[in-house]
Amino acid sequence: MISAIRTENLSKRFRGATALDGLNLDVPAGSIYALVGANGAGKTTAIKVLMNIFRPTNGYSEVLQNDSRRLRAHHFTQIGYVSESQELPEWMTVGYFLKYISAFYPSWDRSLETELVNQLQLPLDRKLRQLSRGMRMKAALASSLAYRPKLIVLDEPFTGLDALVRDELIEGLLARAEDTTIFISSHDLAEIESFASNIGYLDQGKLRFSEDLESLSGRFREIVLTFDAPPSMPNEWPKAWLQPESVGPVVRFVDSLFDENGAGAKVRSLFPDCRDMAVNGMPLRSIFVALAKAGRAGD
Amino acid sequence: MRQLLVIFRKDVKHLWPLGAAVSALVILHGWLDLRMEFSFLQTLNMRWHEYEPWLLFLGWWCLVAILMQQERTVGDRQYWLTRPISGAALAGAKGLFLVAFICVPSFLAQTAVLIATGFSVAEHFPALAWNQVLIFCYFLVAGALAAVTRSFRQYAVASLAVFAAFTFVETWKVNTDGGQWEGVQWAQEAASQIVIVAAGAVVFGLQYTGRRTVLSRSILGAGLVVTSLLLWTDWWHAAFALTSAVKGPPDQASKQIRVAFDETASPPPDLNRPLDGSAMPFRIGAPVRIAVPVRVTGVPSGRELLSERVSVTLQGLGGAAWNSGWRVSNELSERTIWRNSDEWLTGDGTYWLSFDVPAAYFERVKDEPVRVLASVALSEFTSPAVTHLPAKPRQFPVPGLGHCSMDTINREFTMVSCVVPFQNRAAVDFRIQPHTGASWELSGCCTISYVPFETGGHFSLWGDVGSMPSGTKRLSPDDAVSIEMRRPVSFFERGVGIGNIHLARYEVRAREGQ
Repeated sequence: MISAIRTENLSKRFRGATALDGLNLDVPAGSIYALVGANGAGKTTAIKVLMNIFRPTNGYSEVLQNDSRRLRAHHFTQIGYVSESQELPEWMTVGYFLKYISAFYPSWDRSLETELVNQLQLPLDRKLRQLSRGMRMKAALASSLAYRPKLIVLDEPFTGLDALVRDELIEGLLARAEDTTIFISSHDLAEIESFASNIGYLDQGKLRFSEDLESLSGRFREIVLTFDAPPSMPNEWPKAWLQPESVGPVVRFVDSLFDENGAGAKVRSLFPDCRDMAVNGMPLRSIFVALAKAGRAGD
Repeated sequence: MRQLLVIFRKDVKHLWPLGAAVSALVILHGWLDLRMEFSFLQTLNMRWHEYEPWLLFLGWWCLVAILMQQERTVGDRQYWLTRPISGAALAGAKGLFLVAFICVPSFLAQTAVLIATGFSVAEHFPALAWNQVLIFCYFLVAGALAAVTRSFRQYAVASLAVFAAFTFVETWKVNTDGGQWEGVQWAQEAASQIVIVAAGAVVFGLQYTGRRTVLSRSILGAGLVVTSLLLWTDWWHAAFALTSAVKGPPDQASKQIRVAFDETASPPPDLNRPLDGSAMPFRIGAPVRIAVPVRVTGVPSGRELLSERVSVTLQGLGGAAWNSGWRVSNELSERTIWRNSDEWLTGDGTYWLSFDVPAAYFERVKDEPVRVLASVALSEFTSPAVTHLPAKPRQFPVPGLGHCSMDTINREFTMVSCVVPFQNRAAVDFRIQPHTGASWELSGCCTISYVPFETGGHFSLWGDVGSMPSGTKRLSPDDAVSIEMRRPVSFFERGVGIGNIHLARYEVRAREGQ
């Protein structure tokens, strides 16, 4: 499998503060990879190291098979980067911005540009500084899609946007996701869940896990056990069972390695008095809350 | 190249109003240059003349900062960092913009002024073009400063700090004995320019290719420190040696020039007049002025000498040694007291090798035999070409110099002034012969540069404007006014060894009661 992005023990420290701590990441080409984590987890730092905006303190990373420390101007003809905090030349109109930027891309597609402008309803004659935040993000996205990049990197693209604009952005993105790898960072799991194929969870600069979304959703379940009387908790609590809660005759936990065939037997071996076992699917958000809490408890 | 032009066009589209405003200042500056050429005195009275160059500098300075910070190199949020915009194209586009909006307008304005004032553009073209290169270099350094600062505000603060530091160094230098380099000033200017421009160019390259801000700031800071040191320290002798090397060795005739102790000459006479402000000795604790007679021989006809500086080493019989260093006030001259004005050694003869000795050292060795080893730095000039000035018209060309004019201030003072395109390369003295018979002179027009290339980087076309008031006298139409112009030929040093003299015998004393 070809990787669009790969890192090995990537670390970044800012004056003693560790922002990235031995990050090992592998983003398959063609995937829509979501790097999630709380604010300050290191997502933006990771992306800026990958884009050669920051130099790594240690480790190695490559983007489209190029050492990220050696990314030069011409490499960016195949990479689109949109960030919530990116400073655009605000004096330019949207139209002039697209025209100006297009001159640097040999593969710029005018008809695709027109299509994007129409789809994202961009006002070509308005200056970037006059646009709302959402509109600016759309303009940045259009300017990063019109040359059909092999890799699109989006850093918190949906932060602060209303639902309609978010949907428009996602639609604009997904409509052109064929043959493109999308690497997106977000702390908003609701949007990610709807379209990401792979997911990585970054916490305090460390990648807690990285896998495809289907497998992740498949292995996380909320288990609710009901007893006739309050049960005694087992001495050896399985590590894969997260966030155990006991309220009277009910025990609740998150199984992070759920196996449909073996789950019942495993529960019965630890709780022989269990009267009823309910297995609930979990939304991504709940999975990450469980992971985050478990991670903090573990630290 | 295509990227460069795209970025350049973008910058022009955005910044042309500012560029046009600054170009208007260039035109205003040219117009003032023109006014200055036609009437130096009138221009002096114009407030604009005082402030306008600063306004022009400020305009250029702002233009550079705003231009550079269109694509800031410091920071991590700029859109261009993740676009296929090459650093080289970006740097090239910025350079092209500076050329288009600073160098070209300046070149055109200065050319227009040259034409309007009757100077030959062809003759001055190399200086004209080179001057724009130097101006470009100044703003390359400003651009480098903008490239290592995060915002216009940070750039302004950094610029003010640099400006304050250099103003301090310049002020300090002017007030020190070693601060007046005169004809060899070019070496100091050139060395400091080379260092700071090299640092600026490296920073420019580093920032636009790799954005190594910490390294770039260090290099620029080091460049500024080294430049300050070059301006601060007195390496006059090295500059003189460099000038000598640039000009080449003296011709065969000049090699015969010798300076030797004149044992037959009398010791210096007591001064028989009150001392003026420029005479340093005769204060308690002040250095003691020594004047030793020396004979200068072998001065070729058609040549004159100017003593630049003298370094003296004294060695007492008891071993106490002292070295003066290359001091401005040490000289070989007809006079024994230094007056900070040129005095020409017009031919063979006996002159005074005079220098200041610390009072304490003098007291130690004054009555014992002392060996004197002196090195005299001499500039050889052509004998003066004399241009007699007519009383009318007020303004007239002086071949090989520029345009000169005579003005009367408040109907009392007469001032002769000359404007010279770019740096002046001739020693100029004004002489006035009143019709009443008493001869007097106004010497010391125009700072001179001993090398034939520009080192200043002048915003103004007139690199030098010389003028001296004629004292309290008003010129009469019957007075004869002339300009003497000498051109430098070669530069060399001559050693003088004097064995076992008593310094007390050669002390320059004021008569009692004076």
